Amino acid sequence: MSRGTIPILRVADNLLVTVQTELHDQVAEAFQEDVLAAVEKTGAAGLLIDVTGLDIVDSYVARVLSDTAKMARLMGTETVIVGIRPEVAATLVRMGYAMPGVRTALNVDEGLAMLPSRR
Amino acid sequence: MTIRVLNRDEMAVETEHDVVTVRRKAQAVAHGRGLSTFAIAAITTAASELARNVLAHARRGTASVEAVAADGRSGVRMVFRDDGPGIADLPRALAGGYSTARSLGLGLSGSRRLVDEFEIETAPGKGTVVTVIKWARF
Amino acid sequence: MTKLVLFDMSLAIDTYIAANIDTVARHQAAIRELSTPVIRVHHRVLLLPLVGTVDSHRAEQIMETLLLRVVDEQARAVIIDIAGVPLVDTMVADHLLKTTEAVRLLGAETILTGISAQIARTIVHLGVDISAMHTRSRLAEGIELALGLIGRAITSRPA
Ligand SMILES: Nc1ncnc2c1ncn2[C@@H]1O[C@H](COP(=O)(O)OP(=O)(O)OP(=O)(O)O)[C@@H](O)[C@H]1O
Ligand SMILES: [Mg+2]
Repeated sequence: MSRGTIPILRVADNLLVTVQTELHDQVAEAFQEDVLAAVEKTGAAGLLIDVTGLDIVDSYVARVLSDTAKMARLMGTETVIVGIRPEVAATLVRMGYAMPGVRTALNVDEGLAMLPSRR
Repeated sequence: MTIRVLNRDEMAVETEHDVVTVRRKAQAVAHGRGLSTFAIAAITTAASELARNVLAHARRGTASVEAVAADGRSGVRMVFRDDGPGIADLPRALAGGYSTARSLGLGLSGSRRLVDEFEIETAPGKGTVVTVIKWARF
Repeated sequence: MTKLVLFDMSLAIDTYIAANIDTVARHQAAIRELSTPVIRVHHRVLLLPLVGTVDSHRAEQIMETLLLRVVDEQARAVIIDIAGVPLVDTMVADHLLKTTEAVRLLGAETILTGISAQIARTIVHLGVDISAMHTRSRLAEGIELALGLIGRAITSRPA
């Protein structure tokens, strides 16, 4: 379902994307494309993006993540970002970018519980 | 306060890949200087923002990452230098929310809030030099 | 009473720091613990009773300590009680807001309690955006709200 850098899994009505590699610019663009293509293809009710593996989220990556959530919403899919690390959260708010409008959860289970179901 | 430079790495900033290299270098040096996880994230993120500014607004330049010490304190200093167009309206660029690239205008103001010391030298047509320091806290 | 003791001890430690700069590093953990006593009041509910003056440096430490604990304990709700903070100025209000935002990014919620009439006036006059915060005047109400967030409630036992 993806070009191999970022695994996209189907969990019931939802898509689970686990970001493990550093999202430098080209990877970030490919990530967004792959995720949106999967959303389009599956018509998933929800999209979970697990960022536990990211130790650095600069304004570029934060924007890619929140834009992806907005784009998915336009396609009728709700997004929850899970696993933001303490140092990443602190850095983002210190920079003045708290990703407004983006829903968040502590872990994948809780993220899944927040998402609607199509059935 | 005299700052002693213990180690210095200078890198070209000309491609996106260079931005990643500078960021990794900043992270490694910060780690080696004993900065906390939070401080490492802060200085690494600032490195990313400032290197990307060189690339985005001046096309090319250099970044140096230094391990520094002063008054028994341990820190990381970074200098980003370019011969690009310079910043005409510095107060506005530093205030945040201002971008000549239709972006969020977060990089400069955000980096400033992430570091302990921030200095910028710029003039239209004269390029830009941004120097930042992050100290390890006890 | 507990609060007073904590305050005095952190004061004592501050004075000690001024006198013994080099030995400070060894006391780092102790200072942090005393100035940011995060208490687990229930499964997945944390309480931070803030006491004493909050400067910029302490505010940053508070945020960091709290964020680490939220992830460690997978806490859903964090109650910050500011009844023991003598002065809430722009800086303190701004830090509280940033802490709330960072806690939200982790996927948890912050409830601010101990808001006196004086503090409420200050916060409004400062123009701080409180739409992202849950607030209550008393700690007990904050705890009730927190329990509600994790699907629990305090009820009286049937007679
Ligand atoms: N090295 C530089 N050379 C020339 N102009 C710069 C440089 N760095 C920043 N600027 C100017 O300052 C403005 C603000 O910079 P800042 O990094 O805050 O925002 P941005 O790069 O436009 O957007 P963002 O970083 O949010 O993607 C830029 O739009 C640009 O006009
Ligand atoms: Mg920028």
